Amino acid sequence: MRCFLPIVLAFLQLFAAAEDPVDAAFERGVDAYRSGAYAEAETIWTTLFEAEGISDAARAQLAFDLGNAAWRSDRRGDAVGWYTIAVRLAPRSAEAWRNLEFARAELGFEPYDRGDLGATGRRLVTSLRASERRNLALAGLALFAVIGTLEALLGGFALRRLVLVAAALAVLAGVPWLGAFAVAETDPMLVVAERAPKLQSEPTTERGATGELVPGARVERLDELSGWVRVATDGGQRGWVPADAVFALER
Amino acid sequence: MRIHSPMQRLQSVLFALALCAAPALAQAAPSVSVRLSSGVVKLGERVALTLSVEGTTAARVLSIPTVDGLEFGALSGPSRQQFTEIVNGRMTRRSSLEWSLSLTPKRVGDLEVPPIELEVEGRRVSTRPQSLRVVRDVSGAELGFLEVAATPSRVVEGQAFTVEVRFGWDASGFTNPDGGVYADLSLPWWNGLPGLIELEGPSISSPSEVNVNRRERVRAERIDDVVRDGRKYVGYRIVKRWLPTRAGAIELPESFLEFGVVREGFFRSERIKQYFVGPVEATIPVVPLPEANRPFDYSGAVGDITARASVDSRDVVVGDSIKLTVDWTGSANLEFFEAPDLARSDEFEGFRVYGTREEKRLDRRRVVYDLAALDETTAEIPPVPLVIFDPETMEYRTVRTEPIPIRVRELAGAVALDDGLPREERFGPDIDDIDTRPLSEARDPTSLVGDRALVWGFVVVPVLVLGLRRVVRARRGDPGAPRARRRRGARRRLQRALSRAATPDERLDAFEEFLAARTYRSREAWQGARAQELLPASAAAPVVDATLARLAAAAWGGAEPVPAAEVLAAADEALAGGL
Repeated sequence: MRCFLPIVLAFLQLFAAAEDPVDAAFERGVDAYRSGAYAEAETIWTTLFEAEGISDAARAQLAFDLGNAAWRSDRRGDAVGWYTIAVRLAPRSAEAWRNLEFARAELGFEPYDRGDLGATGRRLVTSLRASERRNLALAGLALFAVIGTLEALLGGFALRRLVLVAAALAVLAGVPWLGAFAVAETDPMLVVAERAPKLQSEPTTERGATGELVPGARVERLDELSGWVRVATDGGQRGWVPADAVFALER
Repeated sequence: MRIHSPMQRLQSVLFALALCAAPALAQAAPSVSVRLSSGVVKLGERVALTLSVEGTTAARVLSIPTVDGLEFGALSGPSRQQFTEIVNGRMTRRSSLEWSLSLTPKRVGDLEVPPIELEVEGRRVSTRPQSLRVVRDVSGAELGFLEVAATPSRVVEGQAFTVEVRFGWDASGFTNPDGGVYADLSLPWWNGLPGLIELEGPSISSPSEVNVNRRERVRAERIDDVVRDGRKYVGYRIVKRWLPTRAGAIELPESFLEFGVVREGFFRSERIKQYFVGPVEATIPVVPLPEANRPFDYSGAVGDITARASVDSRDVVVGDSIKLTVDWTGSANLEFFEAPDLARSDEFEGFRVYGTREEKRLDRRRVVYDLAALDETTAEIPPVPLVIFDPETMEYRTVRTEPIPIRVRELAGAVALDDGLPREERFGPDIDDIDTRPLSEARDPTSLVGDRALVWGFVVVPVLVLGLRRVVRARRGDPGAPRARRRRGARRRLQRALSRAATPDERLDAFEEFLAARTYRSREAWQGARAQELLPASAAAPVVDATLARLAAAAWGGAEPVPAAEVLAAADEALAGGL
């Protein structure tokens, strides 16, 4: 029995040294990008992005690279869409933020982070990833449980104060987690057309337009037909726009 | 003899005074009168109308009539007069009000000043009409002249024009060793008419001044002697500049010249000869700007304009400031047109315009543009265009400056690039490069709990904590109470007391204190007591009693002292037994 152990270990080491197929595919995309074959790179990376079992961190990286490929292919609206996805998945990625704001500025869109109080608050709430938000909330809750139990068993003024502090900390720790639910969108899309697309009452241009969308704004997808998407704006306006005028942020 | 008291005497005096004063204080009915300073006047000569009301101080003028050919001045007054006289013990009081009004005849003929309405002590009263004969001043027309002329005689809306008033008199007819010649002009239009903006006029540096409308002293420029109908006149002129803001006809109504000889006295001067010339009228037609063929970049300039440009430096490096000075001169509305914006001009796309500075003068409009060449290939400053309307040809046309050759050199010390790109494309922001790290390295932080479990945790944990708290307090009371804290700390305090105890009785006290704290009793309750009695059902009773007996024997019976470790061991055993 003992003589088989080194053989098994050696086999495992050999297996571990073999390149991950996901990494290999990703590398092919990088090579294609470097050689200027942006469409090929996009195809490879999109397949990886939509594959099962890919972590959010890896999807954020892929979205960032897909944004660059779209930018180099002169599909600047799609690039903004991919960078937005990257920022949503990796909220603290400085490169993703830089490319997103740069692309939006080049397109004449309003900055994604306007810098006002509301935008700053939103960015603060969404600056953690989902797992980080959950872990933080759990830590706050655990702290409250420990100190609450101690106070229940031992009593005393100091512990009562500590329980209040722990409760406040638990609420604070839960804010990003709860805030993410508050700002969650059902099926968000980004208006990526450089010129304000017209909102049609029906999925055709033969009817009159009922309004127009702001380039760079977020809308909610309500319905979809071939070549057309029905969206709703924050202001409550609804209508159909050409599918290439918007970019789905949930993929 | 009757004796009067002082009070009776004072009453008598007041009664006598009242008898004397009463008839005098009753005045006669008020009377109204009107008079002219002269019934016959020369055309242009002023005549004074005086309006008097006697016998009251409660009167006011209700309205001033209007008469064709007669200009009424402002009503001045009233001046009040009151007289009180005592004649032969009779007191008389007289009151009067007086207004004055100047009238200036504007045409020859018999004119009538209609009744003027007044309100006197609440009643309406009218004056009698007054006749006024106006005759032409033949001598004045011969001895003086007055001309009002506009230049140009026809103007376009927005085009500046001047009105020149020329006047003078026959110098040979005025020889007066005691005084000089005076001149007053009556120009009703002098201070503005609707639809006109007054512009700065040419400055006149002359010692001569003329009265205009009896209110304003205006400098009059001496001009060359004027010959009219073979007669030679001393000539003067005054000038006004205007800009019409709307089309139509500008009427300059009756103008008069009054001149004559004035004798200068020690205290005051006296006009000893008066002559009048006028009325003189003028009309200036204003035609609208044509809409046809009006360029989009029309500047609003109207008139004859010449443009000239100059620069402060013609040999510069890229980015150096070049001050381009453009002067527009000519007979036009130079103060009002909009100077060209070179930043929006396609011809100046090779330049950056940092700003402009403007200077407006009567005879010149100057704009200094601060430019910088963007490229060393720039060889000249292009012509600066200005679209104007020429009233001579009644057409829009563009006035351009001459192009100015310049040399723009490359910025010294700049690093040349090999890619051959234009300068503005050599540096510029771009996106960050792709992230090429292996995807396997990009791992999500492990989530210790799911959303659903977390929701349950936030609901259940507080409930559990509160429940535990409630149960603990229901069973043992408040764990934070002093008794409970004393009980929890009993073992620790026993250990501390034993370490300090030097005699057997101190060890006994420490153990009794421990028992008291654990059983919520006082120490006295344990002195001489037995655990079998105080804790009958406790498994700890035997060890407690044994320890108490050993400690008491050592303290009171002289037995061997119990070591502190054994006391602590007994305490631990008792605690384990449920103490």
